[in-house]
Amino acid sequence: MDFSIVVSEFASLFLDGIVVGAIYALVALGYTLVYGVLRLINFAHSEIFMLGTFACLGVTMLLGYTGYEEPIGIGLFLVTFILITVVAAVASGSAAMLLEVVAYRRLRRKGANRLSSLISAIGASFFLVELFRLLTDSKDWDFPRLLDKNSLFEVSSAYVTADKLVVLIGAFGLMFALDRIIQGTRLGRGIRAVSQDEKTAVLMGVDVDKVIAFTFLLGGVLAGVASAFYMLFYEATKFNVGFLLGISAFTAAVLGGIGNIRGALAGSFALGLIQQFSSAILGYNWRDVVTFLILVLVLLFKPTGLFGEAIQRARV
Amino acid sequence: MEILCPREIERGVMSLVKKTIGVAASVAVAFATFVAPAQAAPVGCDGDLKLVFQGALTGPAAQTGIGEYNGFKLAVLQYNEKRGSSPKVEPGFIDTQADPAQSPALALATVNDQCVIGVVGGMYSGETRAALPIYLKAAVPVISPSATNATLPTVGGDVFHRVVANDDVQGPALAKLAGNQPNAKVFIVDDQTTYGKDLSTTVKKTLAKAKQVGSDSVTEGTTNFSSVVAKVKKSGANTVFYGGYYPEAAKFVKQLRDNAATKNVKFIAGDGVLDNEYIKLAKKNAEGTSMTAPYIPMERADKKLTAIYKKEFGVAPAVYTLETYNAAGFFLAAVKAGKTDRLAILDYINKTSYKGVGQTLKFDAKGEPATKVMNEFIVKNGKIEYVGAIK
Repeated sequence: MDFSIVVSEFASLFLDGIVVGAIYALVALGYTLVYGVLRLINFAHSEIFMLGTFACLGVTMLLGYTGYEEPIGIGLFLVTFILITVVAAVASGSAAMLLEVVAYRRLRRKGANRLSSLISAIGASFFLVELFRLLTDSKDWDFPRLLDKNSLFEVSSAYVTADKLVVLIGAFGLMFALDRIIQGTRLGRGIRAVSQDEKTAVLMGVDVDKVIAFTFLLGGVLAGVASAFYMLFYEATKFNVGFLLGISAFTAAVLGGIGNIRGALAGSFALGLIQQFSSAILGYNWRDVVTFLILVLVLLFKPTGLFGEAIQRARV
Repeated sequence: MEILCPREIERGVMSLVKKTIGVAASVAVAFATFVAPAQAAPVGCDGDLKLVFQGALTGPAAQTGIGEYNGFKLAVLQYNEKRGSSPKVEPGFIDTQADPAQSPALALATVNDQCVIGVVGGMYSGETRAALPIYLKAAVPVISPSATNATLPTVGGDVFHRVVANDDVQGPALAKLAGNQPNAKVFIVDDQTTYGKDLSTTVKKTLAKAKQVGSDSVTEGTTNFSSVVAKVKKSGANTVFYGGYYPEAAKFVKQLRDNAATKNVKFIAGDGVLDNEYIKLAKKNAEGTSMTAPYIPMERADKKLTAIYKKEFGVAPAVYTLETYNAAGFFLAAVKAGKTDRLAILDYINKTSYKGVGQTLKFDAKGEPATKVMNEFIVKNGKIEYVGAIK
């Protein structure tokens, strides 16, 4: 155990924790949004993210990046990266909507119980993972370096690099935009209405199917953007990348109180920091032991998560 | 007419099948144990002698496996061309996919073929360990080109031999490599797999304590090494040893190079990282990585043979191709010396030595190579280059 590292490397650990937390947050929002309207854990959400990473990779391949060239200039980077992000968002968003139609909608209309939907979600997740295992030859795939990772400036022990700034600025911008959509638009109001009381929402003239489809779209787009940030930051993907990240993001959503958007954000940043500091202090191999111990303790003493209401009555 | 319910029929058939299989298997084992060691010449073999390669020709490990199989085939091919009056040897193979669950059944079928005089393989330790008891029982001599687990001789008795030095030799060699860095301050990381952890433990044991400045453990599949990088930075290490495989090593070395404080550290790893995929994933960051492995590149040992190999198979030799070529060569030398049954060949391999290409094969009582070579490799200009033996 080494606490001195927290003192000497505090800023660098903190910065990395926040960056990882920001990526978790974008994925965690997808879990929490869907849970809000459907009371369903969309276990295939992590695969929506995985699909996004391969969409990013596809764009760079089409553009002819092999990864051996020097990072590109800032102007060209912005154009390229926006293109990558948009393609990933479209791919993940449409995949999420398709998933809703194929795996959930029919079950919902038939009035199937929630367990069937859960199994359907797990089935869809396995289907996508195994499909991508075959398509990608179960190999590790690397992503070209688009942005120079030299330190721009230093804050104490932390090297602030351009990719971390892009992730942070992008993620916070997106979170703000999401908040505006939920609070300020007609569809956002629909999402809030359905998550509070679906039957009453229908009586008030809310088109539930449309609202649910829109929720999946939102979650998918966020996961797609997250995948672009992930690729910029880690520069690698694999067919099972979603599982590893999905578990963390789901944990973050539960930690914050599933169904609660601000809770998901807080939970994600908390989780990113906990993981970073616990692995520095105790060793990386203790990271998940500590993470899940904290999750269990939080749920034991506050079953609703840090910011959640009672799980059965969660609100968006 | 009596009508049997389908389930009863099924049950009846199944029990019959089970009985038949059981009887066949026990007969086969009895036959193998009784007949094989007792004979002087391959009784029950009415064709050419067979030498069999065991390894992965399909599945995830196939790339290495096909390279080994090609080396094996080339040796047999060359022998048959120049054999003179010696008996013809047919090259056979069993494709285990390097899977310990598949190798015993395939090995049993192999030993029951009385024409089989020996096995070149298996390629990995797991599949080899699973098949060895069957080979031992049937007294089929085995020379593995690449299985490195240290405990294999305890399973394989006197039929087991291997060309390369085992994992007990690699750890100390890595410690030497790390300790020999100028003013070495070594940070040791492992991935908690059997392979990675064992290797790092040996490095920790054999490297002078004064030269060790810290350690950490990650997991297979780790993507975020930033906390490890922060620890390396704080420790002031100038050398990092990674015990694990190439996918994580590529990510780790990338993140080390991206950090201004750790970008110049020397990166050292075992043969789990010795793979062209490592360079493909880590790109320029892989430059200067030092690795150890017990094998000799064929290009290094014999340019002419390499050219013949390339012409025959249309690809460059792979890892352990030369070792497989030489292992087959030892068997073929035995046949040339007039030994045609398993026991005589086993005796020949145990007692004599064989001057192969680039290496001489001679085995000690445990079947381990008499000279234990561990070579150093380095990534230079995007290619894995041979440096030399670590002494």
